[in-house]
Amino acid sequence: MSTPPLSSVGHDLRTPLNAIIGFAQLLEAQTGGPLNDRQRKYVSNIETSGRQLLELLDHLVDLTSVESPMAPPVIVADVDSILRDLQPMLHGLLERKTVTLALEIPDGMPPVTVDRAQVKQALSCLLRSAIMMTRAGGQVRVAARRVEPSAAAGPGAWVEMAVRAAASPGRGGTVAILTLPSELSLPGVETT
Amino acid sequence: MTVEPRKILVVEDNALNLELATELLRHAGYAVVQARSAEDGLRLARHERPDLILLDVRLPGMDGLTAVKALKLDASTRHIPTVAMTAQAMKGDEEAARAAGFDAYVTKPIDTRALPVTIARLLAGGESPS
Repeated sequence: MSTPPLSSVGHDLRTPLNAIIGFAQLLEAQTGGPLNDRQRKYVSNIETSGRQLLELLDHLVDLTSVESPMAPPVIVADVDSILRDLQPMLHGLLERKTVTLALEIPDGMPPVTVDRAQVKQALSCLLRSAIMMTRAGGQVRVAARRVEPSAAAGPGAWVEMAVRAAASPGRGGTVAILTLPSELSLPGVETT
Repeated sequence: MTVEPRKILVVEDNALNLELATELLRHAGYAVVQARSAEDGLRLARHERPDLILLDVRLPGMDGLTAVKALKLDASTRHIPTVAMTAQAMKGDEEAARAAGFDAYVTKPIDTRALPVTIARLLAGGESPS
């Protein structure tokens, strides 16, 4: 079964969301006249729910992009720069949820041999999920560590990235762990 | 002395979104001219001489990218600042809009607090030094 192009689905869902969120904002700004407290609360609920739908839509676009069957280019990248690229995209969601993001990337991480765009999308999905499930005031942490070669991990060094959600700093559970091959574990790949 | 409000042409095929942009801009003190298609938008741009054009990118018939190219080729409209308004929001869309000639790019859902600021900035930049 063929599916509509992703750009078309995104466009079709964003068009009514524009009216829902926009008119709610106009009401909230009381451009149409004063609102009482209960009316202001209802309007705020409409805008908040509209924004949640928008987050879900963005999340869906991320997921669908990851599942696209294009052959991934294998390149060498460093995890620190991938995470730095992601931070501005998560800023709005972090602010709305009043959740902080902590990155723990020790010095000396070996570059990883991955499709940079797909790893970025996978991390974006994981981090969005972690932020959504974290209560206000909580923290999402991404911790990277080097995994040395072993029978279980395979030859060459690997980089493990753990995403953890915590109701408060220092607590909480692991959402997911990504284990990425370093350039030492896959010989003969293109280096950019 | 009465100061005429600055005039903005809004080109948007979705009735509710056209109403939203119109309400927002009128509340910010602008006069608004409406069009539901790029073809009507081009005609009104030439006749009404708006100070700025807010143009949806995806429109039935001629799309917004083609329309802005036509505006920039016409000596009577090429100076008018143009803002692309799109629900597309895919990678590369902003670059395509700017390459076509748009001066600014906003994605839907439009931020009703930020859009008037963007428009005021473009209008201020478009004023002659005299």
